[in-house]
Amino acid sequence: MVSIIVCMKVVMDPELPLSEFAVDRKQLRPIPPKGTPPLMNPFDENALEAALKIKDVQECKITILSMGSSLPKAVLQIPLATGADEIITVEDAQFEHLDAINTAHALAAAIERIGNYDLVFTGRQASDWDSGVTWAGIAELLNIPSVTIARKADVKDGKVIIERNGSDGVEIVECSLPALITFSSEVGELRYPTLPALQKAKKKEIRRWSASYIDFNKTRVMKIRDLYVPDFGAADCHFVLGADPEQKGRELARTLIENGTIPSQI
Amino acid sequence: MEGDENVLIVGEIEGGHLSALTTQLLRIGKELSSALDGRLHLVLLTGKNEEVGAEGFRYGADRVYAAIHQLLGQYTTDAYLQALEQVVTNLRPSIILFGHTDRGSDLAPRLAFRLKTGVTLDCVGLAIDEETGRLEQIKPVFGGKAHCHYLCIGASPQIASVRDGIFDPADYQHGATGQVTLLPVSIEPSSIRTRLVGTRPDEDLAIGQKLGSASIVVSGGRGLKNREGVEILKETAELLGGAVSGSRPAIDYGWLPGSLQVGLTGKKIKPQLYIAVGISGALQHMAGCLKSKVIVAINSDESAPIFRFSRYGVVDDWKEVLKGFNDEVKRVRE
Repeated sequence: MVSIIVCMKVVMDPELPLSEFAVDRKQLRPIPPKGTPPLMNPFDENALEAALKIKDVQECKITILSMGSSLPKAVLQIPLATGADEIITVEDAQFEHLDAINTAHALAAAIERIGNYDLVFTGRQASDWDSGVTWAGIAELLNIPSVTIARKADVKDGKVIIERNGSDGVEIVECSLPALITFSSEVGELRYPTLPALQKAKKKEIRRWSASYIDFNKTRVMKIRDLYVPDFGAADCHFVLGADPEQKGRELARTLIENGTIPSQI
Repeated sequence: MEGDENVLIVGEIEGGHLSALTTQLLRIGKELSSALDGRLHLVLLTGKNEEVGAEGFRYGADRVYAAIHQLLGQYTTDAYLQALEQVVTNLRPSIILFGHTDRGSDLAPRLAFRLKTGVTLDCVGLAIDEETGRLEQIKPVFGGKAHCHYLCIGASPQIASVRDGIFDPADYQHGATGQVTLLPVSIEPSSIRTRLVGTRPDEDLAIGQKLGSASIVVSGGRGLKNREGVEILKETAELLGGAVSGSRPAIDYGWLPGSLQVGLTGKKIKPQLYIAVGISGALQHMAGCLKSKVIVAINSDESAPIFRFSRYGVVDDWKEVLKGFNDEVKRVRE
């Protein structure tokens, strides 16, 4: 049986429009938007989907690992409803606004606590701070090999076979177990949970661990000096007008040809 | 050692030359090393002795190092990390810069953890903080909605990867020469835990590669509504001798292959003309196309953020607009 730990982070909705996004420049953190609930990092959902694809074809146990200060139950139930076997959370007040380096230390410690695993899957980055660093820390601290931005993973003969997009085509990489693999949208979106599965997931137990249980101690290597919404420049768009959409289209073409943006001949 | 305030660039070789991004790193690296009264060093990791090292001097490097080992001929994270760890222990740079490439984004963070230091990836600005003398690392966060300035305070070296196209290439000085210094590295073959067993050609990936060189790109998003919409974009692209791409929804819905995704985690392109059709203009998308010379937006929602970034805008049903557009281009060319 293959044991996969999928690390998943609860994030602010990355689709939140700029007009509703704000930061607290003193506290150096974003202001949680009202009315837009948090969700699972989409790249972590891709990682879960990759794990579920392995489970589709062979015996496999999927453990979700998530950490934070107080994780919303509704978000945690989705991975269980799509086919994950269990979920472990490490929740502690000091995990609020934790940076990537500390997150990696905490997750690696939690994975060591879980103990028995063949694969660790993560998203390529979390869509809040976009750091792209946590996966590397987990792999380095656990001293396991890593392959990034895979589009597929299969376990065969005690090895993992990974497909990833390379510059000369699809690279097929073989890697010994245990290993850490990161995923992105190439895998495809996480399958939808069925309604009965969601009902069942609500009844499943969430194993909650604390920071002290995993022997976590915060370190301070990186410091945020400033956080702000940059000036995106004043809108300077020339709107092309016309009596109807087709005429607007013709006018746009004329403008772009006249100023040489589009060659008048090919 | 000649001071500890040196900047080390981890270069990449492309087609027998330093990659464009490496020459950009040499420009910003020079600025930083000058501010620190330090030197600018370039290191190349490679499988065989190459002429390309000397190019480093012509782009302003004070010293060029080459770590040559048979096991560095084929990229593996394990071999490159081992080699880099030895290079860094040997040279003791204060700052290490990578290009934010497939390789750089793989190596930089693992190296940081191995050296028990900090790292910031995909930086769009770098400066020496006057107060502390540390490297101020500016990075877009929250999909580009905010910028964050980081300092690595608790450890050294300071490591960052830099986004392509942010800095100009360093000036090229024809006469500059120097001797490339060979750095011995030892790599334990049994410690390499991944192996490239093959490469399969992929039509979609090949199409994606062409996207980077297209001078006109017609791109579609959620507003296309369906796969048929892509066919209309293709017609326009063909007419203009350009290429088609999409924002993330167009890829997630399966209308276009992932290799044609433009954005923060997709391709970053800078064509002469970028026509955004039914794309709202989320910053995650704009990160991939903002460097285009002219951006044109066609969207039925006049409040769509895309118009903030566009030189020309059309507010209307995109299908009808493109029809008129195509007709006019054909008419002029007849």
